[in-house]
Amino acid sequence: MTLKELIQRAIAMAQPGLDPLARAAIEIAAEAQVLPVFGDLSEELASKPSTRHLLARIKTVNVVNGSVALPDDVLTAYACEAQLFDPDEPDTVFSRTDWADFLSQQLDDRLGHFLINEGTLFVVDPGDQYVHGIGPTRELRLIIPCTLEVPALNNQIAAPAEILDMLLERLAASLRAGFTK
Amino acid sequence: MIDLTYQHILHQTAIRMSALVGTNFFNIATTYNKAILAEGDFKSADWPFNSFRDTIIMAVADFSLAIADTKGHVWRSYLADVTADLPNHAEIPSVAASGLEIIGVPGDVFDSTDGIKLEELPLDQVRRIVQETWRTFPLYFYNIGDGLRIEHTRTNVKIECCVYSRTQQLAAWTGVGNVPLPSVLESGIASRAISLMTKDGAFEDQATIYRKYSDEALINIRMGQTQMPNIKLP
Repeated sequence: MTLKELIQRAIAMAQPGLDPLARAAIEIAAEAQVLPVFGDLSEELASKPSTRHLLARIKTVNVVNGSVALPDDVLTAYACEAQLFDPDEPDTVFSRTDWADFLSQQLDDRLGHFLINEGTLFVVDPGDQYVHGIGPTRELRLIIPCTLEVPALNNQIAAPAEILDMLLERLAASLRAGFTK
Repeated sequence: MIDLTYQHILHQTAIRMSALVGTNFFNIATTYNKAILAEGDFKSADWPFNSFRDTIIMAVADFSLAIADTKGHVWRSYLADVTADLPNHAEIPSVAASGLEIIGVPGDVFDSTDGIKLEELPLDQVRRIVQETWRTFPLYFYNIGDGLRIEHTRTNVKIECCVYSRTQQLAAWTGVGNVPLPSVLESGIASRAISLMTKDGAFEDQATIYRKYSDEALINIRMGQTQMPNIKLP
């Protein structure tokens, strides 16, 4: 479903039974409601362990000298659920590590290690220890919960069907809310 | 298919104005039965042949304007045309895209590209939408109001309108062509023409009868109706 289709369907769900001026008001308000609906649903899904997985997306990260800043839509608060892998070396296992262990110079050399700290991803290859400014430079894949992305109008919404249904219901409800007695 | 011709109206008008050549019923009927009446078929001392032409064209104009002045009237399609593309803030034109003069009230407004009809909205709301450049979802609203300009939320729009041209009607008359209106208006147009043909007190009583009929027909049209009134003779 594209964003345009989502808005059109939500309008169609919200309009029935209303007078022409109210119907026009719903059309005018629809696009403005998209951001808050996406944001609120992202927050709600992320807050529950049972639904957080619905927000998981695979992000391509270009690590340079062992670190990279993560995009704004990544929910770093849930870094505990992140997974990292190398698409070119599928046998390499990266273990998520906390800051103290990451700096300890005693990382298990059978595994790679990664850490997310204040929006930055740090990576150490198997057999290496962390040294600031030194580390791998290549493309990796990070699986982590992210906020729902609002696409361009004619682009597909990158979300599973379950989330699309929720977005549609929430958007229609928020549009109708102002006219429900 | 439009099949009401100027000759139909001329026949109806001429016989009631006693204008046809003939000294008795039979030879007047012979004249009347001719498919095309010309100047040589007319004998009226009061009304030259071309005065019938001009009066009938005036009657057609009266009915055309009544239809064009009535938004949503089903007969507007007989006079239908559209404007050229109009960007936001464009002046409402006085001629249609065909170059013919626009008469009556504007019809529907629709997007020039995708043909979707626009809905009317208060001017302040239309302006606010236009100013909100963050919008990407297409909205279809316009406002004309009492002014001479149209403001809308699209790139270009067209306005459906009615058109009329005396030059065209004169050419239709000369070419033995059609009246640009539905055939059921034959009685109304003929009555209107007869009601206009009075001078120096002559033909006054007859004109009054036919004026009443044509006035009622025009009122019906302006109320959105399509039926013609019954003639009530005194």
